[in-house]
Amino acid sequence: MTTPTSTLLRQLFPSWKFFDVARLPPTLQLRQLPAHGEPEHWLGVVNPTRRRWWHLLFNPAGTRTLAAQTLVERWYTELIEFGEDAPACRESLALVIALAESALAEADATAGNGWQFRLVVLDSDEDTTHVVYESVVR
Amino acid sequence: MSELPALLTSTITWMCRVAALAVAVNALELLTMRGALSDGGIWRAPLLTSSWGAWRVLLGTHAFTVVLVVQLVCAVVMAAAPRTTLGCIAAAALAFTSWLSSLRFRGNVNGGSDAMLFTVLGGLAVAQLPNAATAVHEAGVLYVAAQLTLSYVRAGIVKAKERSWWTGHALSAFLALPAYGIPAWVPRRMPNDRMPLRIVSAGVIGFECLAPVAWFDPVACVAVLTVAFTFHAGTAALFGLNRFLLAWSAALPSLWYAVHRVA
Repeated sequence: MTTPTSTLLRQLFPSWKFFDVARLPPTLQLRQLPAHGEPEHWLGVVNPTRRRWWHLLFNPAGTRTLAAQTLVERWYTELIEFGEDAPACRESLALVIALAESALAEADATAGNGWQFRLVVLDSDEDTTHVVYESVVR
Repeated sequence: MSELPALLTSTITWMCRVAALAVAVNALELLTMRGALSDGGIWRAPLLTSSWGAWRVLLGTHAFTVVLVVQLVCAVVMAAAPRTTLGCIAAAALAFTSWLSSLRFRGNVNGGSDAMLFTVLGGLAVAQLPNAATAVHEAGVLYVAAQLTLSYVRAGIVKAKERSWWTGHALSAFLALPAYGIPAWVPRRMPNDRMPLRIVSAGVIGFECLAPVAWFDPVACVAVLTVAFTFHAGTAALFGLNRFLLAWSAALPSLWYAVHRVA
């Protein structure tokens, strides 16, 4: 669990290990389930923002996007290392659900029969998708 | 040796100004995206208060807005009054607000850039301590230079140990990740010709692992500083890592002081 002390210690003694290169980065996706017919396609939740020249110095939308991706990656790491019942993982899951709800709200999506999200690892070289977690219909 | 005090003075001044720009940008970005911190946002307080401890009084939606405004004011003070008692207090206050921002986001806002900025601000607080010996001020700057070098070497070693970095696979995966918003003109997948990705990956590993040479020769230091700035500007342009560019730019002058102290 994150605490004020653990946050301070991480900043006082940073690991400078920027990439967990043993794993490919995960992607969060969601899909809507319409009242009738087939479920919609899975769509990415953390999407890129349009880049402008001034984003080299000031990039609030990009920072929000990267913070959201950090959230997804942390949940992925906790899922693998601690399992989904661990308190830290449950805390991350609650934030990931808030992230997915925020994406639905931005898309102005209608409720239909609900929606689902999943965590996948896309290997573009091998053209494969590994599903790490799939939520129940919400 | 006689030029060192003047160099130390100008190094601290430059670091204060660039670090002030970095923390001001951080505060303005968080103020711009404060909807994501509101009760209906992603990082809504009720989901996070358990990790805030007693600091929750400063991290609620309205209180945190005040913290960010204070951060902006302190940034202006540090830029305007480097090497003064006021500058020292501003640097320490900014290290504190940077830590609060990390806590607000459950540990970090933007990965390693939070830690580097915290390191720079802590070093600058020490480097501006009133009535302290020059050696103490030097220690503040050299601490930043040491952490800066360590940041490159550690990252380089981690990459060098991974085969996926040498083959270009790891870089390809990061380029393909939607969150980074790689500009359309950059080819994201190169299944038939991996050589450019291999060359770039090997170049980054080489630069990061060789960064310590900057401590021992001024020419090598200029080369490392040039490559480092280009590298961070490149990652800001490609991956949107503007906070890394600003945080590391605030630390880079410390390396120039280090080489004159050591060489």
